[in-house]
Amino acid sequence: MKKEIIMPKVGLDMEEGMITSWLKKVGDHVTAGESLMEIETDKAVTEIEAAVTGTLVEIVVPEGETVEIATIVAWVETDE
Amino acid sequence: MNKEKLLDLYRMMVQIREFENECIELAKSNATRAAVHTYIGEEAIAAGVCAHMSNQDYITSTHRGHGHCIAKGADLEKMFAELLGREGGYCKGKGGSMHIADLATGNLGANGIVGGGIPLAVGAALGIQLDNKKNFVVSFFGDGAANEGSFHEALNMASIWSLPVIFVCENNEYGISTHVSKSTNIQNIAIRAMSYGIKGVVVDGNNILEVYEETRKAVDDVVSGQGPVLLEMKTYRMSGHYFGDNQNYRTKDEVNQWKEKDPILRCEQILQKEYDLTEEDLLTIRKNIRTEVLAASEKAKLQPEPMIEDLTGDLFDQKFADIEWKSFVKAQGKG
Repeated sequence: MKKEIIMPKVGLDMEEGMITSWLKKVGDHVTAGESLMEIETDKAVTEIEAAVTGTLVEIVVPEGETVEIATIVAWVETDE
Repeated sequence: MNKEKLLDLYRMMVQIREFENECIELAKSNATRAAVHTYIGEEAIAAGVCAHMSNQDYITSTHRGHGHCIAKGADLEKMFAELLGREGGYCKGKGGSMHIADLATGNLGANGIVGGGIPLAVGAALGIQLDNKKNFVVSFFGDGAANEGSFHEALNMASIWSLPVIFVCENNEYGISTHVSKSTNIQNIAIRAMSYGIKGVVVDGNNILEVYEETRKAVDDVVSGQGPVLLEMKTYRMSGHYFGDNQNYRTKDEVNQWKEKDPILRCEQILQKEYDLTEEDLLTIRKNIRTEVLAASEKAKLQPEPMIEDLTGDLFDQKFADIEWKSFVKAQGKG
């Protein structure tokens, strides 16, 4: 099953965030709880963990780009 | 403990974990709007304590209260609805994560105020004693709350009247970003029980069997009129203070070390080693519970939001204005 990864809201007043780095490449396997990307808000840089286990099949938003919260930034094909 | 009992406790812990995982997903997409404080890593406490309670026994809970609500028997769809601000939620969608109360299951409510629930539990226990009932109250709070005045006042009053209340301190090592060693000058909060002449016990809060057994002893004590008990559950907040907390006040190594002591993992090890369950059995249980939890979330999402006309409803209940207050004189000394 393909599952979307979104730009998460990590602060109460956060409206958008920038992907500072992808910690996995397309084709990499990722386990739930493993760090997947690093995002920067106007407050801090935060590592975001994957919620599902599977293969990162597509990165929609590249490093350095800023998007609104809940925007799809990547897709993971889950193992289940 | 027999296999079915331990499996019940295991299922409860998994249900709480899956509920919290889904809460994080909802928070990521801004569906909860407000912050969510998850109970991840502390599930054995709520599960092991509440397993001894009936709907006539009360709890008071905290801002990290989802686990307590669920273990006390709350309806998951109504909880999700509350977090999502939907009309069918426990507070009609107007309270959110930190204000879930459910009188039907004896849950007197979560509380956004640190230490706020502890005196309320003492009041509920006084009510039980005055009514000559055999019920009891559990107050959950954290290591931070143990430094609040309300904690000390509550323990003092409960001790002089031998009230049927168990104070469960969930020492998860952090008050927001402050490590307990920076806020508290003692190793064990349980020793504070001595100041009030009551029993204080240190419990491994990540060991479901120990939590269950020590709570059973405490229940026997408080119900038989021997006065309140303070149980300090040593545990660890495996998640941040709220979802999104970047946790720059602790190291990844520290968190990973505690993840090896994950109460669910430890319960699984016991189930496999001593009760002959296979990894596949456990995976099936987890999958089924996950499906149920996600179904409750999906159903809650379909509920309508509260009506704007109802914004100021439920702020005042005439029933309470009409109560005829009676004065009472408490007998001197114990009991």
